[in-house]
Amino acid sequence: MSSRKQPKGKIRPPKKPNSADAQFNDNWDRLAQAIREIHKKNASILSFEELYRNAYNMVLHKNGDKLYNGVREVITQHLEEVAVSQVVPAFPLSGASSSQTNPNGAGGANFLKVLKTVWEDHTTCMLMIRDILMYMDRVYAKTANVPLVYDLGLDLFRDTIVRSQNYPIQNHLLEVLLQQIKLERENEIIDRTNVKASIDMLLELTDASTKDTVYATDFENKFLETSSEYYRVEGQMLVGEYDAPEYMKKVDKRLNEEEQRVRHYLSQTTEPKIRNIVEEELISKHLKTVIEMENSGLIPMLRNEKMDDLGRMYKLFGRVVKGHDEMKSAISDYIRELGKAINETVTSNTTAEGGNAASGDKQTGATVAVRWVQEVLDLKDKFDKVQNLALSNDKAFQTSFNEAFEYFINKNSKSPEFISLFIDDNLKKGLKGKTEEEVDSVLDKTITLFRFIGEKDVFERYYKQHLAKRLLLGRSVSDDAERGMIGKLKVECGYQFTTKLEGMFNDMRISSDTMTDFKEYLDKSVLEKPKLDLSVTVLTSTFWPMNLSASPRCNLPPELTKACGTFQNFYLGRHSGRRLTWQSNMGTADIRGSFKARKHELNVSTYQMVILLMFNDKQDGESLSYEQIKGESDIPEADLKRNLQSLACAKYKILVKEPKGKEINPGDQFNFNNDFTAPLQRIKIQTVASKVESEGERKETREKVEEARKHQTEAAIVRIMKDRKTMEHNLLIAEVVKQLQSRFMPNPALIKKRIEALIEREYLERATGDRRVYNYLA
Amino acid sequence: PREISNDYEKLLEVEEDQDVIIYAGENENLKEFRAHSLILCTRSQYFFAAFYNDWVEKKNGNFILKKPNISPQLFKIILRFIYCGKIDLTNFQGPEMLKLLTAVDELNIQALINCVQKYL
Repeated sequence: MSSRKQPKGKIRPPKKPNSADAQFNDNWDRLAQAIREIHKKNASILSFEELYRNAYNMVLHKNGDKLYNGVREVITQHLEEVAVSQVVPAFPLSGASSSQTNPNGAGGANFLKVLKTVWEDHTTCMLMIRDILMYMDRVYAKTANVPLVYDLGLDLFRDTIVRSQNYPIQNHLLEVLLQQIKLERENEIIDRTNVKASIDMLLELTDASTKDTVYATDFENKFLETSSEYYRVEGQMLVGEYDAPEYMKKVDKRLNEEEQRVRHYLSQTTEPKIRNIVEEELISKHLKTVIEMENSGLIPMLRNEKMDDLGRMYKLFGRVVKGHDEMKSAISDYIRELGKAINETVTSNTTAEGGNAASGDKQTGATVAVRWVQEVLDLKDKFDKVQNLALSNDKAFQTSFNEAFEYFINKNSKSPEFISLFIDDNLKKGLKGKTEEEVDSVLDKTITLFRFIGEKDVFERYYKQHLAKRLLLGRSVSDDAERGMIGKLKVECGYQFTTKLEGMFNDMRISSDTMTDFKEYLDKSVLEKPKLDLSVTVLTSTFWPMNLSASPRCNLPPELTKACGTFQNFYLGRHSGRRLTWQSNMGTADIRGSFKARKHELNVSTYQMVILLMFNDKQDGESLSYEQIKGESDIPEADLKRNLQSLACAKYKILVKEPKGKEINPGDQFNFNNDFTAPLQRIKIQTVASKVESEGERKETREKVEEARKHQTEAAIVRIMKDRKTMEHNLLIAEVVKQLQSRFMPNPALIKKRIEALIEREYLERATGDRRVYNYLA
Repeated sequence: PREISNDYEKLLEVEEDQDVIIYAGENENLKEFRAHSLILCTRSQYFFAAFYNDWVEKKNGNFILKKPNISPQLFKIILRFIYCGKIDLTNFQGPEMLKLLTAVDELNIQALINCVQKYL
């Protein structure tokens, strides 16, 4: 009980010495001395059981409070001395100058080292003191409701050292810690052990009022504030100096470093907080800037397929709220932009052609369609790859990409036709140079585009037309591929969608059987055999897309007319009640032509055959005028022009036209081209089968589609009303839309019109009282 | 558990690997007990604290502990309890019981405190 400078908490000398007081003084003197010895690291000279018994006796004799306060006094004194003799002399040179004179923060590091020693000494001593005073802790501290002696030691250390009122220890400590961290952020090597020791110390100390750690109350906020400021500055600097990939690498590195820092010497509770700060300062605040960086941002990354960078951006930006949304919308905009460009090349191509050749070089029309689809598929492939390699197949991104594709695909009103043409193209020549698997995978991809089409019924119409031509002209390469494609469509749209397509296949198969039977019939019959081989395909008119109800005009040669008659008798004899109409515009013929050089076998359309046969009766050099041919053959004008074009202006010029030119005009003269040569024996005169429709045809198709939609809409309304009997207008509209949207998006005006038509035809009525409600009339 | 405590009781008799010498009582009533520090430390915080810091006197590798205020008779009973958790309180007289309680309280053997208090 030497040198008592502190007035508070002093132990009063006994006023009236008696035996109990003497006993107390004796016990206490020994204990106080022992604690001092412990502080001097002389514990080994002490006897534990004796000291224990001293403390035990004091508590037992109701002197627990005196003992407790005495201990507080001794420890406080000791810590005061430590502060003066050890901590204060270790203060680093203060302020900003410290980082200049000590560029490595050596002074700071030393300060931490001293503090570490002081702290370790203190805790070691406190453990021993705790052991001696175990009985006091157990019996006195509990009943008196004061902290256990070890905790008392911590509190004293907190108030006497860490938060000393006399010396600016706290300021120095915080400053040094923050400075050490700053140095480490700037790639200096610091002694993490010392920093960690101080941090652990702060973590062990508790703030009396908040019951939180001193780390949390004194250090953490300051740390977060400085970090915020640090990364705010760094963010601005990085964004100005680096391109997007480099920037992201730096951010990645920073995030990593901060995580490591927390793990190595800060509290885990700080981890989410510092992470938020880095994310906020380095990611959120610069989201748009990085995405939009001119030569290195998101779009250039996509353009150059920088999957690693994209992946990094995805991961990095996913950390902040708006990150993925910004990426998604930027990529979607980019897809739309690319899609728009694809659409534009198509329209510029078609208009250019329109200028070159008014009635159209139809083959390039199809090429445009194929190229459009191919470009869209390439684009799809590209973004599938991005999705797969960089975006972890994120569903939200997929959805947004799909919307973008859907948007621009439907912006091109010709997309249903184009996609059907693309399939047509693949099924016609697909197997050339491609394996069956390759064709199949192309078709699979095409199906994904098909999904994007809003007007599936328009597609269906085109698909039927193209399929019909493939089947009738025998242009399909593989029956399996055709059926495979129909199978895929069935999966997408259901049975209803494909019944007619399958019906067309059925007609082809039955026709082939019929022809076998017809040949047998001819062999057995006594009738005169036709002078030509006739092959007939019988089409069920409802399955096929063309108007089959009437025969187009055409004067066929007599032999052919006769052969047709024979077949008709045979067929109607087997199937009574059916009606056959001959579609001469869809047939083909093999004819033999003698030219000066050699004979050739020509495969031509029925119309071309009719035209060519006219020249049989003519002398060499005798020509026929357009009007003569037209008059004699009675072929419809548009067909006639197209077929003459194929014969006189295409690759194989069987006829010679005067004047020369690509177009057929009234007044043109045609001659049989006797000088015709070709390397092949057998020649196929290309009748242009698939082509982009002309404006007139398109309008016609459109009208047909609209007509079909009316029926489908009415059917849907009746189906629903029959089931519900009574229904409110808006609900009915919603239900109709729901039923039809897999085929097309019906607009409410159309549905409303159909409802009115049905009311007129007395399928429905408006409910009396409520005009918005309809009743079904059975 | 019964089996375990029996086996541990046997440890008291075995004079091997004992590293603690405790002198209980004083003057003519002084007796030397030998024990295993491992067992004492495990069962009592008091002993744990005593042996944990190396401030206890050591002779020939043995911890030396003096408990003059606890009689050898009592200490024997306490030691037995420390080893095997057994105690027979039926023959205790009032004052003896109080002495036991005091000793046990000092040594901070909570299980035995509870045991005695329950009996009382």
